[in-house]
Amino acid sequence: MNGSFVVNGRRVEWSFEPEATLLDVLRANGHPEVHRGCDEGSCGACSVLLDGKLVNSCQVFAASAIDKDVLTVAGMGTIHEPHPLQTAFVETGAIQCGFCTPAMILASLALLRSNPNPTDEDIRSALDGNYCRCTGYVKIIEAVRLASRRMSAHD
Amino acid sequence: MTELTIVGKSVEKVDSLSLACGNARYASDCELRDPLFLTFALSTVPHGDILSIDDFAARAVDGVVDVFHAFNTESPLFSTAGQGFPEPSPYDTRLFNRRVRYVGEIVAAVLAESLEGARAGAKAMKLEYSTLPALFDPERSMDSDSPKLHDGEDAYAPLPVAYRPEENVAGEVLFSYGDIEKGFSEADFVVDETFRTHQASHCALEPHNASAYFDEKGRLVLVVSTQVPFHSRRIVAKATGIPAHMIRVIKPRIGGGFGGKQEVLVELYAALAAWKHKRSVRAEMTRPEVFTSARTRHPMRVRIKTGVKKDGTMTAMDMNDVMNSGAYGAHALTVLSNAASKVLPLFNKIENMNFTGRTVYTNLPVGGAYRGYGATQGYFPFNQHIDGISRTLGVDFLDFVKKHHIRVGETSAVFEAIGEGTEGVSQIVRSCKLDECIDIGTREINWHGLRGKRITDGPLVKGIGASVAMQGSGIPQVDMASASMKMNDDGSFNLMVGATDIGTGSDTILSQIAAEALNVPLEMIIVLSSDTDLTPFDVGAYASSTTYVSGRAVLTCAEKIRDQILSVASAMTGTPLEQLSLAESRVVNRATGEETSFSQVACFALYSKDQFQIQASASFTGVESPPPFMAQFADVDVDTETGKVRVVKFVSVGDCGQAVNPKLAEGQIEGAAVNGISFALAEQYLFNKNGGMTNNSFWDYKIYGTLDLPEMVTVVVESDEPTGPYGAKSVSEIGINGPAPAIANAIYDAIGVRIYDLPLTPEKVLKAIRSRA
Amino acid sequence: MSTVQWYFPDTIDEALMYLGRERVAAHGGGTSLIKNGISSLKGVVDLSKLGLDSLKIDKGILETGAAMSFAEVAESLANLYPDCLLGKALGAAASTPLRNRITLGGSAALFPLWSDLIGPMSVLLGSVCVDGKNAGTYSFSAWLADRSLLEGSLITTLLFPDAIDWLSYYHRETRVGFDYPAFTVSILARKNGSSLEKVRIAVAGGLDRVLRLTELEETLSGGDLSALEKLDVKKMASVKFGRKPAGSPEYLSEMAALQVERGLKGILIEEVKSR
Repeated sequence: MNGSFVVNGRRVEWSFEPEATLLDVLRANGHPEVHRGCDEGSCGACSVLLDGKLVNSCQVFAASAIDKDVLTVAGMGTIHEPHPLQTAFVETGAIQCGFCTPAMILASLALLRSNPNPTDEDIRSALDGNYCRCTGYVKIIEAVRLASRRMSAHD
Repeated sequence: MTELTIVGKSVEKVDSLSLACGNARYASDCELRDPLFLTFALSTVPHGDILSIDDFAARAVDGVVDVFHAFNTESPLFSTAGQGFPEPSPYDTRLFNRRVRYVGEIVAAVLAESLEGARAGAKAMKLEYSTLPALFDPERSMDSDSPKLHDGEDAYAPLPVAYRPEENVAGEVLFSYGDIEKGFSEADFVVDETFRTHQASHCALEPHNASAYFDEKGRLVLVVSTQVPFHSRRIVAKATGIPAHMIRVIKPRIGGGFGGKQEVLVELYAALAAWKHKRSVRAEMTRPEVFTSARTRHPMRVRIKTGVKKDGTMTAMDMNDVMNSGAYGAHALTVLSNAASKVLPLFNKIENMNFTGRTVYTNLPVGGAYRGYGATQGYFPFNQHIDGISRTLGVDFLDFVKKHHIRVGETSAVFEAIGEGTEGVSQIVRSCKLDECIDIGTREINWHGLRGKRITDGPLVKGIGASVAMQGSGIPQVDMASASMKMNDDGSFNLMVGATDIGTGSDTILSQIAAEALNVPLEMIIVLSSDTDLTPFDVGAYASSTTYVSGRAVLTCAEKIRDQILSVASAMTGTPLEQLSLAESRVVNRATGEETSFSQVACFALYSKDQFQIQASASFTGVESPPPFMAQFADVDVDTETGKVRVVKFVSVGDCGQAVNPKLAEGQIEGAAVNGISFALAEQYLFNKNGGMTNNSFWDYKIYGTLDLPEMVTVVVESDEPTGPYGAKSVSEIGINGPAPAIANAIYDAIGVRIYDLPLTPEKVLKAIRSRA
Repeated sequence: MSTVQWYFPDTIDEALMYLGRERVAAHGGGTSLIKNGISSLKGVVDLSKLGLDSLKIDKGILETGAAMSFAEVAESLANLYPDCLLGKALGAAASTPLRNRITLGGSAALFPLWSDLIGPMSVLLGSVCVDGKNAGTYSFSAWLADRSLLEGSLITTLLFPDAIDWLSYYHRETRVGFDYPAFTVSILARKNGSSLEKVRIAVAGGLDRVLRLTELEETLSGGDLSALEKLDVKKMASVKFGRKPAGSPEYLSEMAALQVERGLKGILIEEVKSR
């Protein structure tokens, strides 16, 4: 079947099987930055923002995302013009292997959009569905704190 | 020592931004043209001979191109362990074994035009087994009447090490020092305790996977999620028969390893399939397959018997380990060795010592390398045992540790006696700030304010516990690393290292070392790593070897480059060599102040006169393995009505010599510590009566998330290791050794009952609380 | 090649037309169809255009659209009625990204053993409004008792007639923070001075899937708060469990009873926040 999506601001038309998940379809169509960690909605590595909401793309049928807005980490900023969250993650040492990073950054973005000055507890809750095995989460939480300070200072 | 400009600074990891922006590419991201997909069919019996394999239905599935299994694929015996050659692990497996030895063993690989087709094909495989009695209890493995998993097969050990498959013994370490019986007879009391650690999965977020394709000349390129690209190439060639010179292994970004990818697994089958069909292949393990069919942390039973005098002298220690290898013997000898060699030297003043260790086969998922590598299994018992002894003596645990631990200038007989498959190497400790680590941690956890107080809050009671550990920096006289560098005409340098960055940041710290030696900004070092065609050899990311061993290779290489730069500058300017020094990106004539930029030097060498490429290479093998040291502390609240243990605060204080990049060192410690806490409290392998893992998914194999995180305090204490690059030692493993014993010691502090086996589940803790009455 | 057909109806009637066919399932956005797979189905009906996503409270009656996600319901309730048991339970379920997809209707259709909805629904006396073949409003117990009601039908709304002005307690028994519950304890209570006017207690996840502790409720209701001290709550709150990874049946049974006791004691010292 075919479906149209708006991915990182661009409208695309993709062909996929009815059973395909949003994760399958994103990875098959030029978005390898969305990672497959468990395929069961536990690890969160496949997280994207779907109409602004954080979801596990492996738990979303592509068909159910038709005509919706999808944001991956590549749509937040580029290596030449990174998003403040991306910069904050880099600066605090919150990135080791990086496999969880795109999802963590998107989860953080979703948080900061609705709660620009989160407490540490708010941050932990917002990232509760995103595993990281490398960092122990400590510097990730620091990164979100740093980004929230910078982003709200900017407004 | 001269002031360091880049080493010792928390510079940003060279790949961080590309990872944050989604540019970085992992093995399954590499673009393949018209790939075939490969999946696995797994054994459903724990022990049995395959009588027949009916792949007819599988081959009939739409899109299935081929099916590989024991009856159509030959392979020699080999080991999947990513170790130097010849491996200290037994050669006891083939690509497909006719006798299967655990539920989850790979019995077939199905190749298809689509992933769905490959999966449907794998489901359609029909295997008939003649079952054999199964063995699940490692403490029965050596019984004369227990099933022997590799007896009568032609499994063998390539190195002259103890290997007795007729007894289910996959590895053995025996060590004796002094006279143990005499020691016990001199003791005022003897403590005899048995501890058990459990099986665990690394849970690297990226599942094991490999992509295979052919380059334009028809050579096979394997892009593998691996910690050991060079071992991978060698072992793929051995197992599949593909000529090694036709294989290139590239390690791209890796989504975590922790030892789980110090193993040659998926790429074997990807290579086999690709080579036969001359098409590109994508092979990925599913998460459930990673749990059962990749590697795990070896469970271990440790019995420690120690003789102690009233004055605190430890007159004798007898340690007896039985380690569960699972169905195959990858890392069977070496993980066991480390349970002794990384633990016993810490208390080098024990007068008489005996270590008897055996690794045995069972029909269970296979153990392999996992961060800590035996030290984790050894420190859980050791620290609890010492905690108990110190309490019996009426002495503070930390004071007791300070009295007994190895110090600068000292050695231990264990260093020389126990290696990893070969002889050990004698060494003396040249850097150790364990006391300072202990003192800092004491303050951070409020040891004196909270320990022994059993402060309550409703049903909660608080306890404080600690643990200490050492690890190593590479396998001495075994692990080798190599680096090569060339200078470009703009004054930048290419640094080629075999060293394997698996998220640890080795690309960055090795660049820092080179930049420091050459006095250039970090961005002038262009690093390329882990490509068997382009970079020189490195054993890979294991044994905490990269900072120390690969770092020394890089340093030596950079110094050779520096010498060439100075020679050229001397020739260019007609200045005697002794008058020249390096300043940032330039050579300075100390007498006249005349400066020559690196770019000028390079251009002169490349274009002007007596042209040559400024380039060098260097290799390094450590003659010793300087241990990092760590003290870790846990503040726990135990709910006496539910048995639930909450770690309120966890403190890690570590000495890793000169931290090349303090933030990265902290990150290694923090990640290891949280993994260790999760291991101690939440993770476990559950099996049914058939030896099948019942919780092979994150749904029921729980790991720590942000909601579980205690308050974490991490302090890096710097010492100066004279043999390390800029005084550095390694740091990546040690942090995982302390949490389980620190938490167990804290539980004892809270409830007065010692728990001897992991994990520290609520039900177990509650039972312990009730046993007090 | 797969032949599963996706439908995107604009009206409930159109949706019901498809759902009346053989082997066609409804999909509100939750995870159960993905877990079970759809390749054996003939069709899937996407419910997102049907407008089943609004929440209102009128005279204490809470009405939620079946296609609302747990996150949407929890957020709305957290703002308006932070004490509401339903909001607490749904807001703690699963994880942030999963709460954005799991729907009330999907959850009420299946009520898996680990459901965070089943306990609250039981004590809130929720009911399920259904359109289609078995159109009607079903009490929670009637709905749970007859799974065939779902055939050819579509859950449109869930009703909670008595959703607010209760003291509430919710406990989900987990191994780590992000986990499905081995059991849940849901308690609603109304106090009047020093007397416990009314109390409802449900334990979900045991062999009975969800159990109202009616004996305990009757003993406590209308009595003085001090009566709680004299009762052997743990014995009266005993629920049977099967074996789960979180613990043995004996341990889970004991923990459930303990959490009931803790919940009741906790409620004793609470006051309903005035609006």
